[in-house]
Amino acid sequence: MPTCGMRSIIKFIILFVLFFIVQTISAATIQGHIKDVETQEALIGAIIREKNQSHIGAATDFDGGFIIKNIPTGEYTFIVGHLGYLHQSKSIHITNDMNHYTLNFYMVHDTLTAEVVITGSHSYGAESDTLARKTEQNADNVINVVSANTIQILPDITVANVLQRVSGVSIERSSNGDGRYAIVRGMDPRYNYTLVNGIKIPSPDNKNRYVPLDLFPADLLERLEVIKALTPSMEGDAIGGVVNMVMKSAPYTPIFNVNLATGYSQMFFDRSYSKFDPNSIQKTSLGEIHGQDYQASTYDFNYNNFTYHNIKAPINGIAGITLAKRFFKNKFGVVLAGSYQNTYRATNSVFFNPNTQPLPGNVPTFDDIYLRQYSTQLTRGGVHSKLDYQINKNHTISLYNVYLQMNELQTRHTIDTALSISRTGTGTGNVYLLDRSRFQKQTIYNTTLQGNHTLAGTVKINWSAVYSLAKSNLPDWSETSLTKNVSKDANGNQVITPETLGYLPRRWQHNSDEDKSGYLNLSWSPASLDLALKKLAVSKVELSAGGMYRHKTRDNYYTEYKLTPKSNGGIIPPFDGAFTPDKYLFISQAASQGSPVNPNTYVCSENILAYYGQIKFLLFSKLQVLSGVRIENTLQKFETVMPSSFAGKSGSISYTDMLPSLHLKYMINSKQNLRFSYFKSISRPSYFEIIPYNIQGEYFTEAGNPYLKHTQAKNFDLRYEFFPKALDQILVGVFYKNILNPIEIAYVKSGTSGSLLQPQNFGTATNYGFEFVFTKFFGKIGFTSNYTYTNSSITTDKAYYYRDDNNQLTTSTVRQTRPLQGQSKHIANISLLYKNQTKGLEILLAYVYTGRRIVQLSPYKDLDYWQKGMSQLDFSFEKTIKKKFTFYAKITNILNSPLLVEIMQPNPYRSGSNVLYGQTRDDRILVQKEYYGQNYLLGIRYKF
Amino acid sequence: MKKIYLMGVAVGLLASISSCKKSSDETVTLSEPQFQAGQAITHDTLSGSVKGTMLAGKTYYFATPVTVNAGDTLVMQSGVKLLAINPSAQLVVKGTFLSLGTKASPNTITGVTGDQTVKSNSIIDPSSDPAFTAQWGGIQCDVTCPLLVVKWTHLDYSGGNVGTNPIVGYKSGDDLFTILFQNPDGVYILEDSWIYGTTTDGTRVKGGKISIMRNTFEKIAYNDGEAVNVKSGTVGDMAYNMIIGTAKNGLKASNKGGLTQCNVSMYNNTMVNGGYRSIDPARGGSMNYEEGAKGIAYNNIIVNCRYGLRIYGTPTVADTLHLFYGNTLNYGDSASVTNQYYPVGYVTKPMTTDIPLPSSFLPNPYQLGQAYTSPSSIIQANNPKFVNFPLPQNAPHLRDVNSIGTSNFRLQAGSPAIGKGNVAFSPINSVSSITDPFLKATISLPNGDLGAYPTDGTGNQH
Repeated sequence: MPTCGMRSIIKFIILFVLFFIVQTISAATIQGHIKDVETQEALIGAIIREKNQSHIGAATDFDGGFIIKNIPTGEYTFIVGHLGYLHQSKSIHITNDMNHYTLNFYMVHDTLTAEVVITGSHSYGAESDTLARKTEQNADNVINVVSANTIQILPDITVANVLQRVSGVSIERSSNGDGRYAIVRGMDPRYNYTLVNGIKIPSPDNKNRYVPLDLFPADLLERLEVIKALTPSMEGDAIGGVVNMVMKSAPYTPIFNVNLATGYSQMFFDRSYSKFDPNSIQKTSLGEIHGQDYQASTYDFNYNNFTYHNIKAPINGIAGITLAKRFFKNKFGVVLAGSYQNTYRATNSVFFNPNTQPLPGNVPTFDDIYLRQYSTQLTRGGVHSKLDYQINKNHTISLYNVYLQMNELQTRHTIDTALSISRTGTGTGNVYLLDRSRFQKQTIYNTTLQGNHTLAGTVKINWSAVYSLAKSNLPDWSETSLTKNVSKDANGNQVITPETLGYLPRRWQHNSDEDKSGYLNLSWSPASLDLALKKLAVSKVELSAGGMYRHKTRDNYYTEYKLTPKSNGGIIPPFDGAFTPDKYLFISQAASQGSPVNPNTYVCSENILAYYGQIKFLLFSKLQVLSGVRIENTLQKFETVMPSSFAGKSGSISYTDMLPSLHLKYMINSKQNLRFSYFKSISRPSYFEIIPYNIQGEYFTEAGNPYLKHTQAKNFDLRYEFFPKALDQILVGVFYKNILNPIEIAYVKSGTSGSLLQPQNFGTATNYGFEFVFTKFFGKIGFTSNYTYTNSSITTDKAYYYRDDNNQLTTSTVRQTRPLQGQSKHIANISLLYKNQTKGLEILLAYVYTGRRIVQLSPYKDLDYWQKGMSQLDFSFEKTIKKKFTFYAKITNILNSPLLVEIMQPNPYRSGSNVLYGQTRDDRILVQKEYYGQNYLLGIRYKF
Repeated sequence: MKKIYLMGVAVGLLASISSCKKSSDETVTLSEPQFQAGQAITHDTLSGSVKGTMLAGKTYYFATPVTVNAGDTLVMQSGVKLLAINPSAQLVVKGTFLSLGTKASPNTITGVTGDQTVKSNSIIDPSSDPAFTAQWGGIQCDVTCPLLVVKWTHLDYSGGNVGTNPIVGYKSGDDLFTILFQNPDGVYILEDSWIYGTTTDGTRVKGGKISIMRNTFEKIAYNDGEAVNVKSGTVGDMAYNMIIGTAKNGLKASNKGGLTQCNVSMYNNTMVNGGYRSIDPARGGSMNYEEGAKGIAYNNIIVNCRYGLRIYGTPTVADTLHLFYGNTLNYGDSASVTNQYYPVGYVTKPMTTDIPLPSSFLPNPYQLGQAYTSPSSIIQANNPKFVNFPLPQNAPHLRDVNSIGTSNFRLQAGSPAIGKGNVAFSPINSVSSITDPFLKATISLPNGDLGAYPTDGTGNQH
């Protein structure tokens, strides 16, 4: 596998070099550049063409340069057009005397068009990289931006995967290998939040606040922002950062784009995709249909979801459409965009299941080996629309709607070899064949009515009324089980018992999260104040204040039915190949009613009232100061379905935070900034963690903690920014975070009577690091890179299992210091872009490195699971034909990089009777190895 | 509590008076005093939270979970019946529960149907056997329960599922144990009682000081469960228990959970036909020590169980350095049983005190856990000669006989189990803090005979 990968890399490098070299040389050539007349910045992608012969022309490259070759002699008039600028034309006479001409253009802003571009007061394309760089430079706080143009060429089709390209961001993958959550600066997803157009959206997750980012098709975005320092007007519950998805809006030129693509997953050439019929899933639980007291029969359930069909190389399909137009003299804008992605993903995995309790001395021991094959069909749909109406220059209102849906249909086939049951060596013992059928539908809906008003020229009012609803439905989750025992008799002959049925659990789980919020922001920038403060060298004073209120209600439902295999004459008969209702029974009346009364069924609400005041001004025309304070009041309530004898059947928690911040931006010159930010922020416990639930595990009781404190952090940022040319960029920054009461799930021992796993606060954690972004374009070649160093530290309680002085096996609580879960010390991105505007060609090779990090915490000291450092290489290619059509190809995971998870302890399993296969190192134990294979996508875009 | 103490003194005095009658010929019958705590319960249906004393000889009913609150005590005097009229009826014990039946007047907790059912002596398919119908939900002790005493009590037709009534110690979807005890600092005494017909484990102990002696377990678990299953934090004795027809093991000890190390002695138990209904193969049949558990296991008789004593090796190794065992009598009708006297894949050491003598049938050299073919000489050899239980067994399958019925597992004269016991060890007796004569455990010491019914009559009284 690796050699194949290496070969691929070499091929791509050769391709790259070839494109570099193949530059045809001709006689009559016009060369020049196109720049902004004021800023002298290169304009990228500006179109130059001959007035009457439109086939003679070019587009500017990264330096704003262009070249037109093979021009016959004669008189020519070249016209240059670029969005947001007035057209300009120049004439030139080509003679036989010369074969090299120079033609430069200095473009003037079109103030009229600039005014009607609703998306901002900029004159660049809303989706351009230039704007992305400008946004970073002009922002009040520390921010990274990815433009739609970059997203388009990136190999990624979901927002989660795009995020891994951003400095300081790494992703957490789901079982299908796709990114799902973002870790910002080593901070777990719980420390970050997600915005759509600046509005926080709820999560369809059943327990957590954070939003699965694979729900968002990347092609709906105008740009993606990662905000790393919070200003007072922003919600205060992010310590790592904020992901803001700015969705497409209507520019002044009409848009009609269509995108169609198809592709394959490599692994489904090598093995089949295993599919079950999603219609066989019963969407609603029997208890919800017939009432909680209903006594189900095994005949009430469907068994067709355990009928699997093998499909060879299923075809992925992707479609997208964007329509935008402005009406009534550009006053009324409409944008409508839709995206549909149907992709099949494969995962092959081997997992050595560590026994929860280690051997004495915390030596890891393993009780099962799972060999797993996942077949996942992900169907994403997204629609969004934005209507905006510009009543006049001072008043605009807009209505934004977005609906996102992701259906995940997943089959998981597992061969589970038990290592502790009558095993005499490899290939013996109990073997379990497990087939899981899972269907999950997640949706997010948001509607935002927003108004922007300017009064008396100096007062700005911005308000939003927001309704959001996030839902998840995971119906009829079930896994069949067959068991057999393999042994060897005294003569070494293999004896295999017939396969028999095991338990069949069937679960229904759904949850919803509804937000109703209102936002109001006021700002006042009076000229009089500027005048009064002129002596103090203060200018551009802006006073702002505002607030928001959100009422959230969250509803969770969970029930489980446990079907027991029916025995005949005291034994379970050999399995005949069909899962049918007659082979199961409910062992008791209570079992037939499912278990809808459990800690996972709960209702909770959260009211947040926040308000802020902020001042922004410029000192000595160089130093922008933004400072203010935000107050957030939190009131959480929960109500469980537990009986009234249960302590903590319901409860409420309230607290108030004062969150000051200071953001300084010293503008060294028009191309360089030095920034300093300080902000205080919080992170609230998840909705579930504060409920005093008890879930009995085999080893530990998992318990909630209503006394959990919310996390508070002080965050410092220092960043130097240099934007030498429109697209070039150097960012160098350091950050430091002091985190009070971080929340970790850890081992609690209370006397001799209890050991729990419970979310708890652990003193103070720290997190500091260094970020470096370097982007440079040389003519047609673009080099983009970033590197982030993160070093976090937290000390928590861990269990230590050992033999004490009295020869008793016992467990004590010890403290261990480690990095935060999810933090990689090193993360890096490098990408090489070849872009030939004239030929309409773009080629991208992108590399991501995610350093070693803890992916799962163990309650025991030294036994955390570490994901090994991982490299991923992706490729993307685009070719525009006849200006309107673009063909593209994307290949992801070229190297088929495995995900490796290890326990960093001496490895006693490399030899001997307890040997585990695939162990290659003495200093660590391999726990999990997962492959996802390459994914290919071939598509066409049509731009009207 | 003071009241209990005074009662105890009174009872002690009476007991000493009654024992001074040896020299004369009169036969004196005194009414037995009854233990009482709190108010007598005079209404006949229990519901909600309960405390006080259920009076001797009375029948009570319950239809829902009833709770003994922390700090409260519920007493069943002798001869009390508590009948469930709905399967969701159960006892949730956050305080103290004392069921004080006597040999003459045992107590009974069962379903109203079960109370009227004559326990069949014939072979019944477990899928239609009323024994597995779970007519009430067992005795579920919370972590706050300081003391549970169950003496001379029939616990029939119990079990079920957590269902709509969540209980501490279970997760949703779990089947219910007949008795759950889960306070490592608490005391749990189960004596001279009968557990007949369960959904899963007869008793599960997730920590506690225990004495489980002279009980009879029949028809334990439909297809997934043990008679006695104890985890980390459990310390005490399991002796003189008669166990027949378990789905998995009779007695099982594991140190899962990392509390005080699980330390149990299993001695003088008789286990018959265990391990055949197990939902998955190779899950035990008589006794297991797993995952860090330690203790002693002597003087046990294992007849026709799917596996002999299993001591786990890696990966979930028992505390083999602190495990002592031997004097086990193994009997098997067929090679499939005798080939697992020392279960294949485990690390049970054959002991020279075991019957049959290991060297008489194991290969030489023998590696722990290796597969062997037992010679025909040991098949059906060493018949323990039960008073009324013909061996080889008179049924189509070993699993078919899972209750005692008219059988009698006392030893006939000439049984190879007589006089082979090890008496050179002491019970752990972790329950000595309970000294009240009504409540305290009666510890039966190890006997020179093997099994639950030694010939001196000191063992199981059933």
